[in-house]
Amino acid sequence: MHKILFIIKLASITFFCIVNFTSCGGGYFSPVALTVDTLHYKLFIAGATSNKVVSVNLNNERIEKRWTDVQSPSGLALQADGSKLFVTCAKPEGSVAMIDLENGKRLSDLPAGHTPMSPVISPDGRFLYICNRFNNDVWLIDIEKKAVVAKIPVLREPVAMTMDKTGRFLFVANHLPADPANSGDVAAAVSIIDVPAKTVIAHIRLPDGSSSLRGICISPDDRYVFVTHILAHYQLPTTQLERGWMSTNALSIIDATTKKLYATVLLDDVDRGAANPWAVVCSPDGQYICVTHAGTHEMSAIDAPKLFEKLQSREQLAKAAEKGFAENSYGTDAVKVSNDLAFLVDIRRRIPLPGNGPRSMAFIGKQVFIGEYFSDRVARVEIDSEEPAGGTEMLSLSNAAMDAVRQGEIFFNDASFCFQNWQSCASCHPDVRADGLNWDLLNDGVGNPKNTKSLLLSMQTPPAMISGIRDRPETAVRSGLKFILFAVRPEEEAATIDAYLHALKPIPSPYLQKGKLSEAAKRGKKYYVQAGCASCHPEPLFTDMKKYDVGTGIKSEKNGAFDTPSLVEIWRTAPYLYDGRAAAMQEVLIKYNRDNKHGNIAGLNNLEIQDLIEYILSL
Amino acid sequence: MDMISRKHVFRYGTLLAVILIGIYSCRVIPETNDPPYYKKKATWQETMRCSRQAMLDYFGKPGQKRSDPVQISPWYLAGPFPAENLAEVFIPEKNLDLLTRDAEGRLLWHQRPDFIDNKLHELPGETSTTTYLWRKITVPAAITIMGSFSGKDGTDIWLNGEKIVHSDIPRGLEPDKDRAQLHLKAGANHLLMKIFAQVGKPGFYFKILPEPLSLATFLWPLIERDFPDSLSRKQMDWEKNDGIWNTLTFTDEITGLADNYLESFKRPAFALLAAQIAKALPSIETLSDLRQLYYRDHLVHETWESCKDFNFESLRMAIHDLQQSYPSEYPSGEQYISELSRLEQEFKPIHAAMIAQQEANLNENSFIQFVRNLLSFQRKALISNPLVSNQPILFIVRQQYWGNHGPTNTMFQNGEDFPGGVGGLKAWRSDGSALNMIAFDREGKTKLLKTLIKIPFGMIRDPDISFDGKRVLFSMRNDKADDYHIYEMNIDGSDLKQLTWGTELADVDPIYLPDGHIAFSSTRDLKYCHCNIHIQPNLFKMEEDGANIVQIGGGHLWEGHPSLMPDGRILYSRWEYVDRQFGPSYGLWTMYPDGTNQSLYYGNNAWTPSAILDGRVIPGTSLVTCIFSGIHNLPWGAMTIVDRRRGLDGSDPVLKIWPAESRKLLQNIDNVAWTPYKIDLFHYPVPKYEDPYPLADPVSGRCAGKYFLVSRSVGKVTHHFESTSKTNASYALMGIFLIDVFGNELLLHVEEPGCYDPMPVGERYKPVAIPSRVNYAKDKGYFYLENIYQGTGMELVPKGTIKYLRIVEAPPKRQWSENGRGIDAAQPPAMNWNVTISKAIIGDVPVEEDGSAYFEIPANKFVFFQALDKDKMMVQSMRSGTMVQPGEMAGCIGCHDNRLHASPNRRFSAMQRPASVPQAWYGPARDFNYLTEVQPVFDRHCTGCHDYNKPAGLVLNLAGDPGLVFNTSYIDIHRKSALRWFPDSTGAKLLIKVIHDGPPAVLPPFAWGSHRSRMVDVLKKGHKDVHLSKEDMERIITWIDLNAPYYGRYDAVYSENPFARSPLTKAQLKQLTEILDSSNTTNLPKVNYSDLEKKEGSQFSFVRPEMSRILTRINDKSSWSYQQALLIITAGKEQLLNQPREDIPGCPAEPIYKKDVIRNERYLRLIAAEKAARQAILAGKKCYPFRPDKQTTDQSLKKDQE
Repeated sequence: MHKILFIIKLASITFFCIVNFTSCGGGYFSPVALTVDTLHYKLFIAGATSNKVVSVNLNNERIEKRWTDVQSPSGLALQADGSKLFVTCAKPEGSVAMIDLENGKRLSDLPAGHTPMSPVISPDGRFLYICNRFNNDVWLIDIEKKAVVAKIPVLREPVAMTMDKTGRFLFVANHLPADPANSGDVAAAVSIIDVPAKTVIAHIRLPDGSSSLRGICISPDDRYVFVTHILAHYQLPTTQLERGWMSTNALSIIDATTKKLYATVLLDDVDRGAANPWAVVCSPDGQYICVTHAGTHEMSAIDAPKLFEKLQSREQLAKAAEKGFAENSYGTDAVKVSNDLAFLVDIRRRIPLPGNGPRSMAFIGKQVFIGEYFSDRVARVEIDSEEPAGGTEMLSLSNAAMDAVRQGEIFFNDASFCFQNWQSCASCHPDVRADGLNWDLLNDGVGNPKNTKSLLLSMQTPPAMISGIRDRPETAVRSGLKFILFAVRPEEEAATIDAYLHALKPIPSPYLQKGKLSEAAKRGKKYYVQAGCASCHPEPLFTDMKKYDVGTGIKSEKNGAFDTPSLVEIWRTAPYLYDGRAAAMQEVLIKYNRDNKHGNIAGLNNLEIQDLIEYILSL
Repeated sequence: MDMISRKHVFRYGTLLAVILIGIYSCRVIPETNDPPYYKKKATWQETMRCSRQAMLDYFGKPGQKRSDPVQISPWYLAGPFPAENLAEVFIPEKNLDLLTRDAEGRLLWHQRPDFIDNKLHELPGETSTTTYLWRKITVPAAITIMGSFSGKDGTDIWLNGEKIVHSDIPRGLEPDKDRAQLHLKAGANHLLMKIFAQVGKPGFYFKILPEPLSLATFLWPLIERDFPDSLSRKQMDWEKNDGIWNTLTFTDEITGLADNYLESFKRPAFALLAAQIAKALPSIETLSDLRQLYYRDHLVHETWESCKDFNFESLRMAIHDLQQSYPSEYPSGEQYISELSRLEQEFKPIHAAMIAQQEANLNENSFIQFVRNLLSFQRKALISNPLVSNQPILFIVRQQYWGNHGPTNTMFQNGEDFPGGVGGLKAWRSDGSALNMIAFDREGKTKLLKTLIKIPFGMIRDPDISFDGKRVLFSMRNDKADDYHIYEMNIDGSDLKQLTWGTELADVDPIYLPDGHIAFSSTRDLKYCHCNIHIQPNLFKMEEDGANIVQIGGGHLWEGHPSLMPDGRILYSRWEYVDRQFGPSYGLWTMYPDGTNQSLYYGNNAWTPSAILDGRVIPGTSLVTCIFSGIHNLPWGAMTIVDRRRGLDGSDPVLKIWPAESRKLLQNIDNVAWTPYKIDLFHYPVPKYEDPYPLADPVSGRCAGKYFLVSRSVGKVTHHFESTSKTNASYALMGIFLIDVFGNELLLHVEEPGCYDPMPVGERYKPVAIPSRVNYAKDKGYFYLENIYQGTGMELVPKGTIKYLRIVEAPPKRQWSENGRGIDAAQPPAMNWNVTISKAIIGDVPVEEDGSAYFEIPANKFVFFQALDKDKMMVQSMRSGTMVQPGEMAGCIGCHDNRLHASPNRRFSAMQRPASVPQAWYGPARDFNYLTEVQPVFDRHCTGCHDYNKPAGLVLNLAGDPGLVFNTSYIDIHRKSALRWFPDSTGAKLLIKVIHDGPPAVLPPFAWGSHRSRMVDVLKKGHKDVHLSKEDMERIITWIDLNAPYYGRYDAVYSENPFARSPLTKAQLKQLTEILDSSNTTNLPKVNYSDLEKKEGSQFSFVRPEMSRILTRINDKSSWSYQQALLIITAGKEQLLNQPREDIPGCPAEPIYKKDVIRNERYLRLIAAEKAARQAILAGKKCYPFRPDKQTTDQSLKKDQE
């Protein structure tokens, strides 16, 4: 019996590959979102770099249908009756593609903002909710009327969203912290939207160091919301990796009833990190909480009842300790487990996956399907088998040969060669940009943490690092492998990372209007020259690649000169200045602009300064 | 019938023919040396019989009735006598005469035939009584056997008047406490035991090894030599075990033998048959029939024994698992399962019949055949595991290391000439050694057995296979004159290369590192264990061709058994005991291959297991397999699987332990009581395991944590001192086993003198290399501490209490002496009251309000930290140690932080400023020495009153007069405090509260030190008109907090004198003792200087000889005795003036004693080699320390530097 199934599977894969070769034409598929139709036993897959959405018949594991020309698909939502599929198209001028699954036809699009993601359908099927990542807001869309009912601002880069069964609350994961980086408490938050009231009723701050939120889901009983993120131990010098000295990888649990953070649990093991947690999904029966680890190419299956049992016993211990009943309160309360690298022992299985970059996941019954972003494969795990040896490849989505850029992107995201797999380059540089945190690297001594820089244009604008300590960006890449990932790697790998960084393209600013400067920004462009910004930040790279003392240095770096960063994409790289003290551009130009050394705004009134900022943020 | 049973024997012999021919043990000894009574015949049985007869004739006196020339009398008992201590002497000891009567005319000695050997016996006395035991052992020729003794408590044992055992500590009644060789002379030998009950009832134990002693004892070695075939050996084993030749009456030997055979049948059915035969008149023929029946009986019995516990379920689980894990590579799984069920069904009636002792109903042939099939089926099913049969297995053939002193001391290296030969060069022996490879086919049969390298007189050990499976590293010593060096060769045995060189050093335990380097342990940093005299290796690293050897470890004592972790770190065992008991302090530690980030991995804070060895990470898991052993054991013990995520000590993290019953020996760390006897508990579990190697699929990691290769004892295990029967001691024959977590343990292969280090040959996972961060141009590194209030117990200390961290070096012991002192541990030379290590303060650094600190420390020094309050009084001490490499920046979370937790993400203020430089403690860093650092304070402030002949001096004598080992004040302060630490967080304080060699558990803050010492309270409060300056106060506080050390160095200028410190020679001291004892008119106990010091204080003043307390034992100061005694002490004073000791101010603590000077030169040579290697690394060159043909490289380097 097993053998027969195996042969069928093999045949279907072979068949698929042949078909695939002819249809994909060598491009990468990059599965970014999965959703399942349990009624029809189908799987839908969105390919981020392929402009494609496909449906797979799970009975024969073959692709049934493909929809091409779905621009940059980023998320999928399926009507409960399986009648319609919504695909967010993550472009600066975003949209939501709507597909009638009864006839397979694409209907006219729904509106969306800048880079829509994570579509959610209301329980009654009438409304679609989307995150507009770079508008920092959530839209409520009436599907029938194709109209935006409300635009609800959240904190920063909403990337994932989930809803309770009543449809009352939306839980939105803000990708990055919005704090000044030197404040001593920097964390991203989960925003809770009261849907009928169309307002945010709470921002639930995660523990200090929480950044790079990626996935969110709610338990089937609506009691808890789970969110995946990195818990950066950014306050420590980067002298070692073991025991999560730099990055730990976490699952935060929010009590959906009290709307409070209940606990943050580390997904790492004592001697082995579980880097870059991404998708999180609960099994329909509530037995498992599953998390993909995009950096270590594996999946965690957490036994939910056991997890809560253990958390509750810790909670009681902590309460007892508060009352003085327990002698030792060490690591006992729910929040304090956020440092316990052994907390999940016996509760969680780490299941290795066959491919690279698992970023999306979906459940049918006890089967989990995992989209492996870089391998262009879908893997399957039978979650209930006694001891799953690992996921098996179910489906190949492309067999495109890797070029250096793609290879570099893979290395950039890969934690499997990092010492003990704690992190990858992407752990501090999510999407090759910045995590909003300060890090105390050893290249310029200790005790002087610096804000993470976006790597966009880094290869084109040497030197590297805000201190300019690496004269060539290539050196910085290699130092990163050696001193941050603690790995001796071959030169060829570093070279592909160089190639990947070289190939990065800026994303148009959300401040642009239809791709053009707004009226205010046009005015601001004049002030940019007038205030002297353009002399150090000249077009086209908006940096002259020199070091200046703009009066920002403090403590050991008083009167220090810093490298001039490019202003391209500056709209998404807050906080600003070398130590991230400025949460907004406003503060750079006014609050921290001592003696107008960093832009002469003396002659500008408030409105003009606003225009100037509008321009800068449009770059 | 005879023929048939022989055939069976033969078949069975082949069945068990895993025991291969003892290639190594059959050296031919010229027969001309054989004793005249040895009569070799056609069979060994006839040889034994005839030789015994000849022996009786030879030793029997002509005309006298023949009697056994080997006789052991029953025990005789005298006492109990009320006594104060063991030293007290009673009549039986002075005059050994069984007819001695007491004052009332009763016989002192009573025969006690009930005191049989190999049993614990309680004696009639009570607390504070002494009892004597005596017995006579008569032998025809001189022979050395081993005696195993126990006495509760104090025990002295004499053989023919010579003391062979002395132990004077309270202890429980357990077997095998003391071992001593009994050099029996021809004729009568007198064994006298003296037992002093210190607490509770006395008791004793005695056993002879090998047991029992009989004529055959003299003949076995010859017969074993001449009849080496396996059949004869098998028969000999049976007959030895049954004592067939031991207890004969000699009136009629044939009858006696027949009776012995008859009594030794195991199976009732055979016993019945035997009884039939025995009805006939005894004759050689009936004896032969009986004997053959006896062999059949034993064969059936052994066959039964080999299968009666056969675990079908374990085998079924393993087959099932392999079938699941390897559907294609283990294709016969289903077939095996059904075959197993069939065998199980077939076995049931056999099992039932044997259980019911109805073996007569069984067909003997088919029974044996069935068992043979069953066992070969088991073998086939387990060996066809692709992890075993897919590649050859490499293993070492060597003997077990010799009776010695602990698992660290396996080198017996040149340059280490010990008195007595325990563990030194003298104990080195070899029966030859080899590196072999074996491979099995799917049927479980050996398809390849080849020798890659073999040496006749040396030792090969510690192999490691390269990542590509093509090369093998190992350590080899060609013969006794050679030293262990690292070698590498191709896996087929070709291209042998010697990588390391040098004499009087040992390089062992090599492993490949992913960056091409090789790590190994070596005695290139000369150091010894503090509680004894054994040399200790540390971890080193070199390039692949042996160049640039640099030290990466450098701990206080031993670092060994390295293995590479899948993350690229090195897992190793470390032994060190800063301010704690020596026994339980071998844990598993990790470091990066450049020596940075040294940290505890598992097992450092419980009494048991005392030694954790052979750690290896099970690939693809968070588990480790390792050996739990004991400090005084060989490097073998119980095998375990440990999940350190479940804790760092105790039973919880131990997922699996073989043998399973040894789990009860594990102990959790909450037990801080001082229970040092627990350190040797892991001596006892049998079988013994060594060198476990976890098997796992190299690609998929399948089956990780389930199957293991391991070296395991086969058959009987003798205690590691039981080595009298062979000159080359083999304590247990070790074979290669395949064991799994399902309960199967399959012997894969065994050969003499033993098999070790099994490992699969083939490609294996190569971890990602970790870049080195060491900069040899620097001589220091940095340390930062996030929060001193974080960690066990420190949360209880109010924030802001800790103002300083004191950085203290625990210097290595680079010298030892032949004499020493002992309280709880041996101290050769004497160092301190009850702790073996010395200290050197490097300096103090500030701790910020938030508990953080950031400071520099000298690189490559083994240091520990103490948390001090505003008065520089110690609140908590590390009681372990750490180090930084040059240029390393190391961080820790807090004091005794939780190693299973990530560091809290917290900003801390120490990092906002530059690193603190340690502030020197009243002068540059130096060895802390009581006389120069502390005594002057007492001299300035205290000795005006607290001196000899002054009333306050009787309460506490703080005079600085040097004594036999220590000075007056040092002993007085200690003896008025406590011998050892005990828990007392509140209540009345002792004069000083130090930890001595404390328990292994982490203790809470304020558990000892100046905060718990009355002396500090008194001085702080103000005592009379004494006002100590801040410095004087700190000197006393610091001394207490450093665990009250005395000597700073191990160089002992009086190495050959008692305690290695006494200015008086042995002869002088003996003369003095005689004078004192002879003038003892008041029935004082005999002179025992250590005891007297403990009870009464220092007995000598070598400054004011007339003050010496020992003289008070002589009442008449005008007597000749007094004058003579005073003269001797005065001679000691003069000697100290001529040759000052380290505790005399101004004395250089340098090696002066000849052996110390030689050792120091050796040390300096090694240091120079290390320095040269570091310079070569900096210069991008290569240097090959001590390599004869590559000296030029060193030279060119020197020229470059010039």
